[in-house]
Amino acid sequence: MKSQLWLVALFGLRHMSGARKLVIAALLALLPAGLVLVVRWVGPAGAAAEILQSGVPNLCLAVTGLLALFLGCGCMRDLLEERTLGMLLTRPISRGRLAFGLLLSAMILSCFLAAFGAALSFAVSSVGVHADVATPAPEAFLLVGAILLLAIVHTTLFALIGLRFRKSTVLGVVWLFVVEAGLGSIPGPARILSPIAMVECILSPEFTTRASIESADGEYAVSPVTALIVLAVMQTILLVLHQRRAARMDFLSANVSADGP
Amino acid sequence: MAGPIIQCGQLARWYGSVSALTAVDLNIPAGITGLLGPNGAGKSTLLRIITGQIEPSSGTCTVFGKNPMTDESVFRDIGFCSEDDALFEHMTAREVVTFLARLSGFPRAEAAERAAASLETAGMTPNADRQTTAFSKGMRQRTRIAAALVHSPTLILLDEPMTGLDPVGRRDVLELVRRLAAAGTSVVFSSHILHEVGAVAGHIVVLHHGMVLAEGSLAEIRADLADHPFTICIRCDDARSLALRLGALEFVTTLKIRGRDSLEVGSDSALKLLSALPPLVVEAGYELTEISAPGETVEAVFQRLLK
Repeated sequence: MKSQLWLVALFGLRHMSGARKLVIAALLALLPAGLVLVVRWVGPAGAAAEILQSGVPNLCLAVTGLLALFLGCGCMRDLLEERTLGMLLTRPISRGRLAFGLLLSAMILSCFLAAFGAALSFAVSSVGVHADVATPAPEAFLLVGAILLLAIVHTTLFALIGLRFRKSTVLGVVWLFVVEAGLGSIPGPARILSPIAMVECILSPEFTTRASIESADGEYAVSPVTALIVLAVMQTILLVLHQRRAARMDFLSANVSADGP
Repeated sequence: MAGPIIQCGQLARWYGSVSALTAVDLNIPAGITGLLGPNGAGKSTLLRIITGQIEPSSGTCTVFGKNPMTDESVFRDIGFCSEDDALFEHMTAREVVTFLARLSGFPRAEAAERAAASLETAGMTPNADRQTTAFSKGMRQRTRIAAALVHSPTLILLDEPMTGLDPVGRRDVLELVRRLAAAGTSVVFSSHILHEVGAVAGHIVVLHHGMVLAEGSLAEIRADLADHPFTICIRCDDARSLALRLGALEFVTTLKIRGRDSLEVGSDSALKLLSALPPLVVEAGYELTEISAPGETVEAVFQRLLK
């Protein structure tokens, strides 16, 4: 039932919005705008254009990854650790739908916070920079759109990791360092495993990212359309894996150590 | 309802190298069933398997003929109250119960009505609009009970429902269990407090170290243990004369005369003593005013089962 899905999603939003976690997530989302403000305040004149071109997108991409990690990993595990998941599992709703509803709530929240943070950072960094341009709206839309896409893929990825592993946050951080920062920086086909690298390809050449630098150097680069397709395929695979995992999962045992109940 | 409502076949559950349940074969009928056992006996694990929250390592479990792990429709007929002292935070009791009613498929208005009714049943109406974070343990327990009742299930499973409740609360829960059973709802509840189970359960399952030690009514379990050392107190018109006759029986081990009309008889075989006593009394024409077995509490039965 579709209504059950939204009921769970709304519950998830409410559950998360009451937690201290939301305050931390909101502060995280505002971090790029705050940093931009500080740099513009203390930095030399003319630094603003550079911040807008390269600082803002890269900061926003990194923060979106962290936000998705923070919200995605915990969307199911928080209830498991609070020992309230049993109250939901013993209702006539399938495990898959329940997990998807909670994922949806994490996705909505991470999208909202990441997009808001990106838009604010863009606004803070662009004020007074392009006096010759009436409005930098297309660039802002591109940035916010790309951030939304990344938030969706990353939240699903980290929710899947959260379903599969007990030390999901640690594994999520490892993913951000190894795959996103490491593999995403190495030219070559393995880069398509990094959602941030694909989003950077979408942002290029409007913004200066790793993709645009390598594109200029004639190294390995992926076209925005290819990057979009890769992200769509990645999201589909992650969703399928998430649903399969949730449908088979013995949720309560996942919270029980191997030594006993 | 004919036949068992819960069937478990060779059910086993392992947590790493620790066995929580071992080869459990159970057929739980409609009515009130008490799961009795000390802490760590496997009661909660069994209830979690029955409610599809955890998967058995081996064996089968069906509720109303459906596998609760794969068929969520069975939860229209099941209400579950866990032993975990947890509730959704930042919500009022009414919001929690209404949300769970809606999740059970009821439209908004009906869910609100049902929530109000079940909160009333659980004695939570005065606190229904308070945030659960401010609740005492007993209030959280009552809220969970209300949530388990909200969709009018035909089977209610309560895991240690008396935990955290004061004596009045415990009495209320036992009364609620009786009322639900009288209304045709089957109740399965676990407890390690023996008199609670003995007070209401028509069917008792005794668990220890993940194994079923005994199953049946209290009388049936006693009958299984008939040949155990047994002491009865008899009040009759001539205790001394009766003591002489009983003393001649080889299975009578102790005799204590407590005044003119009272006698305590110990035997190494309850079955033999209880079989021999009626003909002896009738034959000699004694007038018995009371026979009691002070040691035959549920606790005593449980202790014997453990041995």
